[in-house]
Amino acid sequence: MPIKKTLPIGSNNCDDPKINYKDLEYLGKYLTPQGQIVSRRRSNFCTQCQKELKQAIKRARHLALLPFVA
Amino acid sequence: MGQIYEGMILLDNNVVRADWRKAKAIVTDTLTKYEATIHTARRWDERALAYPIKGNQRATYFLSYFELPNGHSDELRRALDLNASVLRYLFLAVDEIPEEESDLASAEDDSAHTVDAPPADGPRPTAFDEIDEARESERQRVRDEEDAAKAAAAEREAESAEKSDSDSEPEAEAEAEAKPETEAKPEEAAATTATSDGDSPQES
Repeated sequence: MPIKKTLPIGSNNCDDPKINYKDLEYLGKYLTPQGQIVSRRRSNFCTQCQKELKQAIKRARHLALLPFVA
Repeated sequence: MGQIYEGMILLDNNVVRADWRKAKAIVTDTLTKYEATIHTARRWDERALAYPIKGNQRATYFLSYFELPNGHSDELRRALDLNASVLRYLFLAVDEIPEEESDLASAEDDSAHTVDAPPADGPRPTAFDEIDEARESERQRVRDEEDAAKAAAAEREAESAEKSDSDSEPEAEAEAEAKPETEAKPEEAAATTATSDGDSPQES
């Protein structure tokens, strides 16, 4: 069975301004409808930026700014 | 020499509703008690929570930048843990204070500045409407894609079934033609035996 291709969110995302847990509109783009963090293949981030994204989303979840499960 | 921290603290709306200055003092007093030097302190936002915390659907977010001497972090955390007005907190070590933060904080320190009383707790309202709409549209897009894929698969199956029918039709005709011959043969054989049987007694 062929792997379903998903388009990356944006391009050259690593050039974006610094990822911040308070920027909910930005973080919301990298969540699935179920509230999961999207993979690097989908987010188009480098390793370091994906780690920063993960950390920011987890901080926002801790403060109830983002849901754990939608 | 201490470390500069960014502190985001969730305050209970019941305390904020009574008096914002007092609610702010709860946090700032706790910070100063543990020898923190507060650079900025302001109300960041009041919003619906993504999930309820201690039965609260809404809370007020308090953002502060302060310098804390080394070794006082654990004591401060414990004091905030025990404070019933503080729902959650997050401390992050930062290198510098953002430039715009001091302006925002000084605007709040102005005596003319007033903070609106937070609305009553209720079912989760407006704050996540945009996110919900985006998620719903995403779900709808996924559903449409699945429906389109199913329709395409059904069309392909129908085409393949048609093809197989058209291929098998000549064979079926050939079989149909072949069948009467084979079916007729036993009858003919029976007739011949009957005649032969019938003939033989007469002859005898």
